[in-house]
Amino acid sequence: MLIDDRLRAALNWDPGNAPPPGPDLLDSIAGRATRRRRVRVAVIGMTAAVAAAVIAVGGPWTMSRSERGGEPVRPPNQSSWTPQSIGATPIDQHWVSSNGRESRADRLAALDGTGLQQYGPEIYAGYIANTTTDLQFGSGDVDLSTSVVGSGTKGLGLGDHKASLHGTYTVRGHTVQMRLEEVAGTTTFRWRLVDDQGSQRLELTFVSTTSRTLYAAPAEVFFRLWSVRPFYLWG
Amino acid sequence: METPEEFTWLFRREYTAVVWSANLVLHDYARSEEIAQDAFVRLLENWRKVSRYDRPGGWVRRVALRLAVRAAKRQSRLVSLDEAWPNAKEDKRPFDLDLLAAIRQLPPRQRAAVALHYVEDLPVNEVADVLGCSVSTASVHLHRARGKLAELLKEEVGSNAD
Repeated sequence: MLIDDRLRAALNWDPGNAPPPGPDLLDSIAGRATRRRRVRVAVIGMTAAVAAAVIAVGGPWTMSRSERGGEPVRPPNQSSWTPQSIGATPIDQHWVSSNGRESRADRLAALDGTGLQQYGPEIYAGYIANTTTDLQFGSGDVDLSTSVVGSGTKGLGLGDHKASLHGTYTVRGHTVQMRLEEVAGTTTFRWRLVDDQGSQRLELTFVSTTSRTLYAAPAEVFFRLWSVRPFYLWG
Repeated sequence: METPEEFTWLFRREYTAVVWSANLVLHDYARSEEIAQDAFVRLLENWRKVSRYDRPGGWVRRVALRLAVRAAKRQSRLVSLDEAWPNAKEDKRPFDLDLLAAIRQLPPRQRAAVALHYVEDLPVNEVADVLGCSVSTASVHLHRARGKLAELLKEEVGSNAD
């Protein structure tokens, strides 16, 4: 017997004949989804409160510095609050990139001064141009994919992927560090949540990467080009 | 969070199949149930978007299999075959336990490739998409998995066309 036939016979299975799960399980899943949503809302509220506090403390400090003629002043204490202390982070959401108006030149400008400009056009053409990004943070796992705009649905219902990266992440203060399965090393971004006319906007700024090569170019090239555009909550 | 009627229908129809797929990767029934539930929690959170897709069931399986692959990489040991497939003896399906035991010997990515290709019936390019690797790498995973399984089960590899 061919192994292919044996695999198909044994594994291909119609779930329609399976006994359905009990109602308790559905209630449990709905409850967990509700709790996760509440935690996220609470965390976003706390982030806003901390940001307001930092502005309140930092504003007078900035003035005092100028009044002293620019002499060094000890910076205000950093907030000791860390988002992970309550089990979720403010960026634990499903984000999609904006339909931004950034031109090719705007994107490639992200490489100015890095010495990596020579790699920009190829990575831009292969993985960035005419794409939208899905970015999901949750439970320590991150999924990042770029899909061709307007490629519609196919197969699993998702668009034609250009880049598809998956891994884990850690949030410390206002940095997020990703460790992706497809490329060894860690990549760090600064993150910022902005209230944009009532909707949340996530901005990522590339900080550093220890990954060497991604898509046949220094990994920094893709991450810098990719993070130019801000992200909005889906839906 | 209110549970949409369509979500309830999908959950009742697909949950057992999602556990089955995840378990082909993990070979740990209890952990596979947890992963299936995690995947449905994510589905419910993203329901407004995913419900517009052609196959929301494909989305939840894809999430579950990704979670399963990650969990499999962290597995320090496999549970016993009885714990992995507790329903094998009572289930109406004809379980091929020899085959399942052979699949247990494959690395996680090969197990996932087998699950995606033979359970989900995905072509190799979509297997690659879910695994987050190139099409050629996914083909290699499948090719090696078939070769190893054929060797273990003393079957023929044949000339498979993906």
